[in-house]
Amino acid sequence: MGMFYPFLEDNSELIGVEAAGKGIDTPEHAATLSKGTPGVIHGSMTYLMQDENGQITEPYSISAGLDYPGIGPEHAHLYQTKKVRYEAITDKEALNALKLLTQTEGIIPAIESAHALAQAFKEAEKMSNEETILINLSGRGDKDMATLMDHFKEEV
Amino acid sequence: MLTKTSFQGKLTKTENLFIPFIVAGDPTPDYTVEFALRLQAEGADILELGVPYSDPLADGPTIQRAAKRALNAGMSLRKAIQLVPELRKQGLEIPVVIFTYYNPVLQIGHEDFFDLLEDNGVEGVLIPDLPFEESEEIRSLAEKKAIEFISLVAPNSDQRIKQIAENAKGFLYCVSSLGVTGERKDISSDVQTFIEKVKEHSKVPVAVGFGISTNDHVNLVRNYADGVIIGSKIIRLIEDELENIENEDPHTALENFTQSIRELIQ
Repeated sequence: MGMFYPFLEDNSELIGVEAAGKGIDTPEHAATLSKGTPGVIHGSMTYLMQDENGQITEPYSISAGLDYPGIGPEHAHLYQTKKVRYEAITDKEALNALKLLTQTEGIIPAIESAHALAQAFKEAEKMSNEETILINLSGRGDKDMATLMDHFKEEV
Repeated sequence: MLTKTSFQGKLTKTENLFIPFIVAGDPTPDYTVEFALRLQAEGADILELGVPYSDPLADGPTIQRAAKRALNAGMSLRKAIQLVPELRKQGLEIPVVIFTYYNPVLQIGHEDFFDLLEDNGVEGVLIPDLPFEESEEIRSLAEKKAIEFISLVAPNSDQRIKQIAENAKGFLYCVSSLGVTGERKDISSDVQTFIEKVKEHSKVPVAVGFGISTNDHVNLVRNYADGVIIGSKIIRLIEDELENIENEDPHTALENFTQSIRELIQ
C-alpha cells in the first residue's frame, strides 16, 4: 500500500487513484474498486473485474502497471473500511497531468503515477492555500517513452 | 491399506486407474458427451470434467485453447455441472469429478455449489487453486454430501506432502513436475521417488498427472502409481478431429479418437 502506510493512523485524508482507461462507463478500464466485485484472483480475495459466472474480464489502461483485473487486497480492505477514498482517472486526464508536470518541473512521471497527479490537480481546486497535498510519484516515465511518443506524436 | 470403495461406492478398483480429463463444452456439450462415452468404453475409471476458466493458472496452452473454445460456446460452471445428468442419461456410469478453479465456486456460493453437485449426481470435485490450508470449509461440505474432494500434491510440497496425503479423499492427484499442464517428452525419474513418498501416507489411490502424453509414459507410470491422469494429450486428440467435426463427420471423428485412445493406454 506504499505511501499510505505511515499515514493510516493520523488524520490526513487519503486518496487512492485507479485507472479509468477510456472511461468507467465503457468496457475499457481497470477501475477495480469503482466497478469490480469481490472474488479470488491469483491467490488473493479482493475486488476484481468479472462476469456473472466468475470469469475474469479483460481490463484496459494505457499504463501497463494498472492494466490488471484485480487490486492488492490491502487496498480492498482500505476501501471497504473507508479509510481511503478511491477515485478513477482516465488515460486522457493522466496524460495531460504528465505533460503538465514535465513542462513545468522537468520531471517525467510514470503514467501510473500521473493518475495520482491528475486527481491531485482536481483536489487542489477545492482546497485552501494553507492545506498541503503530498503526491506519491511512484515511478519514472522514462520507461513510458514509446507510449508517450506514440500518444503525443501529432503534437510535435 | 487402500480404501476399497470410494466415490459413493462406484469406484471399486484401487489400481491401474485411467483418469481422463476433458473440458466441458469443447467444442460443444454434445461432443463432450460423445467423448466421455468413448473414454468410458476404452476403460476410463473416473472422468475428470474440466470447467473452462478465463485465468487457468495450472493449465498449459492446450487446455487453455480448449477452455477458450468452450467459453466461446457459452460454457460455465453451472452448465458443466448440469451436463452430468445428460452424461448419465446417455450411459456414463463411472464417477465424475468436476475440475474447477475457485472463483466461479465462490460466486455461486459454497453451499449452493455443493447442492448443485449433489442434485446433479457429481461424485467428486477438484479445485486446483484452493490450497489445503484454505480448504477446511469446502472439505467439510464435501464430506457432508459424500462428495470426494480431490487434493493435489506436487514434488515441492515438501513437509505438506504428509498432511495432504493423509487427508486425501477419492484419489490423490500427484503433479509429476513443476510448471503447468501439457505434453512433455519425458517423465522425470524423480517422479517414482516422489510417488513412493506419497504412498507412505495416502489411504486412497495415488494417480499421476501433468505431462503424460505417450503410451511409454503410461506404462512407465503404471509401474509405481495407482493411476494415470491424462488431459492435454486427450485434448490434442480432440483437436486433431476438429476438422472432421466442422465438416459434420462425427463418425470419423469419434472412430479416430477411439483408435488414438486405444494406442495411448494399451
